Amino acid sequence: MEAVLWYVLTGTRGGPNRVRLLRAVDERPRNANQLASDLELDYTTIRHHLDVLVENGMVQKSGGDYGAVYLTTDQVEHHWDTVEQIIEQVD
Amino acid sequence: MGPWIEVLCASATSIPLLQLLVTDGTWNLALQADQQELWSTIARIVTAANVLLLVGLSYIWGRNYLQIRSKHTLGLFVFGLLLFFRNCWGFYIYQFDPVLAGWFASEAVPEIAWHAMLSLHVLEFVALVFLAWVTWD
Repeated sequence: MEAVLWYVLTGTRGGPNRVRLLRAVDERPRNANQLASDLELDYTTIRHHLDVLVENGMVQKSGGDYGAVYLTTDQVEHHWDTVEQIIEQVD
Repeated sequence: MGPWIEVLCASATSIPLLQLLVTDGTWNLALQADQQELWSTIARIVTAANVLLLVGLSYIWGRNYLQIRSKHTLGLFVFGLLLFFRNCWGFYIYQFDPVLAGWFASEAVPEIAWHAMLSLHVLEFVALVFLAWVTWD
């Protein structure tokens, strides 16, 4: 998980935006629309990043299809010190 | 086999240079020299493709390093740069080096050596394609 976290968040083209997204989702669960307006990113960009984070087991969907909110997984909470370390360095 | 060779020779003789070679009887020799040229051309193309892939990767990793200053982002960036220089150096040797470029394009390098060297370049290329695929996300 550690290596995946580092690569997905710091090694890829969309890494820095995914760090912002993960932090926002951890703050409080939100849906894709809210994330798009809160982070001032394109809706489709948000969707893509959410798909990548879900695929890598970092966030999970909760609720119905439309307006489903995203929240962090237990797995990522377990390694939150690593995420924290990455977030600190983004600032 | 017969008819194919005839067709091949017939089409070859329609190209002036090849016609000369066929009628000259140096066909086989020329073919061998072409083969050497071909190996060195493939080596140049693959190393150049690796250089391009590494420009893209190093750009992404460099930009991430500027945003996220950590050991990991620095490590990826330096790794990309070094592999970039390694492929630039390879391309220089095959294309521009005053001594080696000519030597690699000549018959001096046996086919078995080319096979070994090209397999290394091609494997590196495939590895970089996969790395670029996950990094572009």
